[in-house]
Amino acid sequence: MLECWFMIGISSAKALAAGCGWAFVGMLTIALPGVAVGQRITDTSNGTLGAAVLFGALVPARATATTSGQVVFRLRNRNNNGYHVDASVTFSSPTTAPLAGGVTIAASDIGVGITSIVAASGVILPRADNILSGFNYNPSTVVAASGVTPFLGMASGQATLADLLASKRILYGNKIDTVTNLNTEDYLTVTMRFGLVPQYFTPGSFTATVLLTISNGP
Amino acid sequence: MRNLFLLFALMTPVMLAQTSGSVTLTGSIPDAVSITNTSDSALSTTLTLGALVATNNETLVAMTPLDVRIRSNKRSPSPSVRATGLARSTRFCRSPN
Repeated sequence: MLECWFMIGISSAKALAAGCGWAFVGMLTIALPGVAVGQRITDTSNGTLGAAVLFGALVPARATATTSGQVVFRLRNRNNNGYHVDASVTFSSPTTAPLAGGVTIAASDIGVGITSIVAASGVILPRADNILSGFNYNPSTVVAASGVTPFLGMASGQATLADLLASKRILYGNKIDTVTNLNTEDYLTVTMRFGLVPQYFTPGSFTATVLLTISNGP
Repeated sequence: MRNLFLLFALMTPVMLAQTSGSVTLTGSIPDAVSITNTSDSALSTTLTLGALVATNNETLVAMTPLDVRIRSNKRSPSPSVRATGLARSTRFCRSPN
């Protein structure tokens, strides 16, 4: 469905003759079903992407493996100049106990990476999809040898949510297809994974919201 | 008709739908404590005192020190220590004259 803005102007003949007098009386929003838009980011059911990754209670354990979660979404684009995806994060971690010299979980404790990009059957080939350096890794395979956060950050090839506190262009590529209809095989399926190591952070909770936006152009 | 009404429409598509999405990550960090051996494995150790031969001096029998690791994200962990073992009563008897 496409929403369009209309501006309706009313003027009198006399006013027109005087060269002035346009009076815009309102704007209408209408929907035009079936009209394709230039780009889309959706969930795998072609609905609005509003995913939740629930880590639950992160009880420290004698483990070196990360606790991980993932989100899978679809990208559609028909622009001749291709597409790009920007990502940004807001992070909060309220505590329920005194810090008392301890460490509170931060955005830098959560690794993030794009682990796969799969083209549907109708997608234009060859593909030239590029993941921002540092984001092309799988956080769930990183070993925390010392039991604490192992992620080194984007510059060292292991991006974390802290790298997205300022918006980054994490993915870009060439034109995906000539249409962006929801009922055709004209999309890329992207898997983004997150990981963190349960450890003795200050008791509390955390919420991170990752905003993903697709736009035209490289 | 005094006024001429002119309908003017500027139609500019605006992609209001499905150009962005969000992923929300949540989790909680509960209170936690642990005690392990120095290899971060479960703590289970037997300390052997060997043969405790009665002597007439005041020298104590030394035990091998036991190192443990205690972790907590609580402000004041309070570990308690309890020693358990087999106890055998000893009877001192005077030899008959």
